[in-house]
Amino acid sequence: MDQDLLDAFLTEARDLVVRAAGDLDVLAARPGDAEALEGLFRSLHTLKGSTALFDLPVLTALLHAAETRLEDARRAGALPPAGGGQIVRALDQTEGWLDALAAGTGASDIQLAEARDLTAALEGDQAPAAARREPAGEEKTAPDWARALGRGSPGEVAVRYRPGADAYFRGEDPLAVVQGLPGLAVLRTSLHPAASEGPYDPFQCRLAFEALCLAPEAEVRAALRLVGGDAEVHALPQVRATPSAQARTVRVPALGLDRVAALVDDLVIAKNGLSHAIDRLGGLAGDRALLGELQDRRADLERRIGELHGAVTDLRLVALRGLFARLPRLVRETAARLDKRIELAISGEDVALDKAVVETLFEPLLHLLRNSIGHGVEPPETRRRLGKPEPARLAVAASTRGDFVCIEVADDGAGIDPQAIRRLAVGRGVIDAEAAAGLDDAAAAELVFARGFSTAGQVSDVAGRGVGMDAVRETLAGLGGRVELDNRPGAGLTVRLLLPARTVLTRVLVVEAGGARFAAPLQAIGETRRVRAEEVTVLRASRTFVRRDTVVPIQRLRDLLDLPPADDPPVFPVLVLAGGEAPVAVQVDALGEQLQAPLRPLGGMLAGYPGLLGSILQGDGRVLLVLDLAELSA
Amino acid sequence: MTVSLQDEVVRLEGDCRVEDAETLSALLDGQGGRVVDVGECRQLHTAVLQALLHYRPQLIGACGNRFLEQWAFRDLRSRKIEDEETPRDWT
Repeated sequence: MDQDLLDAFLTEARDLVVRAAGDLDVLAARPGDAEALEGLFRSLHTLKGSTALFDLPVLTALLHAAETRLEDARRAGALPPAGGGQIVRALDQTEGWLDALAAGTGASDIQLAEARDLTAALEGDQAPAAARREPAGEEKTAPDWARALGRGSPGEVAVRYRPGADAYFRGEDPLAVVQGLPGLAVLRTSLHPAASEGPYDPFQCRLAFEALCLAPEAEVRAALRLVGGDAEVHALPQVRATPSAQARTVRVPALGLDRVAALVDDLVIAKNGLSHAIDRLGGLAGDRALLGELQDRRADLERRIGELHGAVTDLRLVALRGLFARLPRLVRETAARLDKRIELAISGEDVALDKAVVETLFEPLLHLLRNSIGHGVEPPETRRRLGKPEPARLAVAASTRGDFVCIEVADDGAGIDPQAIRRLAVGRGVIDAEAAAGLDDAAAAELVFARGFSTAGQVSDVAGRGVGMDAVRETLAGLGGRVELDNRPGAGLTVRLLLPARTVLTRVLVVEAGGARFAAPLQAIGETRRVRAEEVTVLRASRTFVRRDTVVPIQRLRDLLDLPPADDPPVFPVLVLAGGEAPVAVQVDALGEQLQAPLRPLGGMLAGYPGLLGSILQGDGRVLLVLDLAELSA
Repeated sequence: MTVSLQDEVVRLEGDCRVEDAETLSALLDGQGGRVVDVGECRQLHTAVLQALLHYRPQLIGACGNRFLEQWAFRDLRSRKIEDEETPRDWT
C-alpha cells in the first residue's frame, strides 16, 4: 500500500470523522437539523468513497449502510435517536479501524465481526428498497440546479420557475411574478429554443427563470402561490460552517513545519555569528560609513528574522479540535465498561496551542476523564439515591485567559472527600498524621497529586493505576503550565489545566561536564568543534586555540561551575559562543542530543542564581538546568 | 404608443404590455442593426422581454426601472459593452 496515499487518507478520514461527530452532536440536540444531516451525509459519503480505494470491503459496506440509513433520515427530515446511536457506533468503528491502519496492523477479527454486525443492524432498520426509491430525485433535499445557484450563505432559497408555453395566453406575466420574489439575489433567465420551426411566435412563452432568494422559504412560496406547479422551491442547506480559516488553509506535513522552525532557529544562530563579525569589524579602524551601513543592515535582518520567527511560531499553533474529537469515543468506551452513563459536553475547540503542546495534552486529558468516570461519577443507583440526574455531566472546555489557555475538565460526581484523602495519604506514607491533620480541605485534596497516590478503593483497569494525577501535574509542569483543583465534595470536581498561550520552546544542546548533564541554548552557540590537546597553547595563564586566525580562549565548563577537576582528554569538544566582544570557547566533556522544550524560570533556592537561565524538563521527567553561557564565561 | 420606430431606433415607452411583443418582434425581425431605446420604459411584460432576448438588439437609454436594469437587461447590456470594446465596429 502506498504510504503517502495511506497517510493522506488517514488524515482526511480523521477529519471527516471529526466533522461527522460534530454533526451528530447537533442532531442529538435537534434531530431535524437539515444542515447537520446534510453535512453528516456528505462526510460519510466521502469516507465511504475513500475506504473503497484501500480495499477495505467490510468498512466500506458498513459506511454504505450508514449512508443509506442517513439517506432515509434525510428524506424523513430527521434522524431518529436510534439511528443516531447506530451512526455513532459506525463512526467509532471507523475510528478504531483507522487506528489499526495507522498502526499497520489492519482490522482485528473482533473489529471485522463488530463491523459486520453493525452493518446488518443498520440494514435491518432501513425502509424497504422500493419505498426508499420514491419519491423521485426531485424531492431530495436540494437538486443539483438548486445547489448550483447557492452561494453558501445562510437562509438561501432556490427557485426554478418554468411557466407553461401558453402562459401569455392565460394572462400570466411571469416577469412580474419574479419581480415579486422577496430578497432576490440571483436571477438567471433562459430562453428555450422554439417548439417548432418557423417565424418567431411572440406569444409562445419560452422563458424560464432560476432565482436565489435570501428570504424565509415561506415568503418565497407565498410570492409564487399563483403559479402552482410551474415553480419549484428549495431551501438550501448552509454550506458547512467550517471555521473561515479552514477554507483558506493548506495541509503541510508536520515534519516539514518542524524543519522550517528548525531552519529559522539556525538562521537566528547564523545571524548571531554575523552580528559578532560586524562587532569585531567595529573594533578595527576602517571605513566608518561601511560599518554604519553594515550595522543598519544587521538591524534590518534582526527585525525580519524576529518576524519570521514569530510567524513560524504562529504556524505551529493548532486548534484543540482534533484533540477534543478523540475524547467522545474514549468517554463512551470507558463509561460503557464501568456501567455509567455520561453526557459529555465539549467546548472551545477553536482555542489553539503549539502543535507539540497539543500532542502532549492527550495523555493528561485521558487521565482526567478516566478519573472522573472511574472515581468521580457515582454508580447509577447512588446517583438516583442522591437525587442527581442519572447521566453524569462531564464537561471539557477550553478558553483563553489572558496569556494562559485553560482547559477545564468538570464533572458533577462525588468530588474528592478531603477526610478520605487524609486517611489514605497517611496510610500510604505520603504524609504523616500530624501534617495531614494540619492541612485545610483544599490542601488535602491536593494530596492526589502526590507521587504514587491512588484514590480508588479498588484499582481498575480504567483508572487508579497510581500514575494519574501526579503524571498530569508533571506533564503540565513540563509544558510550563500548572494544574488547579476546584473540589466540591459531594457535588463534583473541576480540574483546570493552565498552559501558557504562547509556549515558547527553546532549543538546547545537552552537554556533559563533571559527570552531570546541562542544557546550553542553541541560540548562544556559534559552533561546536573538537579541539586536540596539541592545538592548545597557554597564553598568559589562559588556555587558547587558534580558530580562523583568531586566538580563542578556552574555559572548562567544569571550572566555571565549580565542579571537581579532572585531566583533559586528548580531544575534547568545545562550544564556541556566538555574540560577545571576542569569541570564547567553553570546553565540555561530551555533547549530547538536541532538545526542544519550554524554558521555565527557576524557583526556590536557585532563583536568580548567576549563570543559569532556567530549567527545562526532559521527556523522562528529569530536570535539566539551562546555562547562561555568556554570563558564565564573562 | 408604447412601441414605435423613429429613425431606425425602436422606442419602448411607459408600460409595455403583452400585445407590444408582437409589434416589437415585427420591428426587429430581419432588422439586425436596429437599436432599442428603453430610456422611457417603465415596465414591460415577459413577452416583450422574451422578444428582446430572442433578437438581442443593442439597447440604449437607461431605464428607470431598477429591477429591469439589474436583472432583465443586464445580459443584453453586457453584449453592448463587448461591442463597444471592439473598435472595428465603429469604423
